[in-house]
Amino acid sequence: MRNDLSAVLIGACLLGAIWTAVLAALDRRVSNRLLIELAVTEVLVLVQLVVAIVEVIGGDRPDSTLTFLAYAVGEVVILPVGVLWSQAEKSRSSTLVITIAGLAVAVMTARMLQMWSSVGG
Amino acid sequence: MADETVYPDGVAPDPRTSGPGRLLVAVYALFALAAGSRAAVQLGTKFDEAPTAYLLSALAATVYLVATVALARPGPRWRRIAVLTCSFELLGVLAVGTVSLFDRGAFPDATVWSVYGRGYGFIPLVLPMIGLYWLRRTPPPR
Repeated sequence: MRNDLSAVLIGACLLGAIWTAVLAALDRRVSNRLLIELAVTEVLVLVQLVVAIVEVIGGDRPDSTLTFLAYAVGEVVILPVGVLWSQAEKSRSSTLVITIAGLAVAVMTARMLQMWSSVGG
Repeated sequence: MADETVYPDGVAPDPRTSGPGRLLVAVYALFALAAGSRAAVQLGTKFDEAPTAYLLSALAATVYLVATVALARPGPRWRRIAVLTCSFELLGVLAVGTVSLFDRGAFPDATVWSVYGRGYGFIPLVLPMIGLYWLRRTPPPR
């Protein structure tokens, strides 16, 4: 797995999480600029999934390949579902749904990096 | 906070399933996904190693899923199901957490409930408490 790609992804997730936390604290609603940031983050998630699949097919496999791939696939749904759930009822606390989704993807990516470190270089 | 909320249809929904209740649903959904995937991997690849632990894993995942739906749906029936599933989870994490402390061999592979959910930042322990507190704070309408 590309460490630099995953590091940028984690950064993007944390940016989105902090951004939405601040919006909730100020009692402001989700802006278009934030949605663009989240869309870019989702693209990074998809790129990471493709990279992970290519590398596993290519023979580089962490100890728990299935769990590793489950994380990569699971991450894909979290941000879109979180944004939809958050925007179906626009309230202060539902903005925090995106904060949680961002933190979840960040933690899952960190776990994937950890699993990937078992691959002998 | 509530007065700022915008409802598209102009009708205030069941307070239990709106506002912070939706945040709760999101976290429960996340754990249904986490526990469900973990159980699927365990049951699919190494069921023979520890059938009891893995079936318990699957049960935990199912209860998370039912709790997620019950917390998201308005009405007294779903509320009752939410109380039942949150209580079950609290008992489950306390029981499995305690057993896993004293008898490591009983749960050789981590489940969401092992050591009170330490592998998941103890959220599995805290979450049902928050859930039950939320259900207490939003009693059914009379």
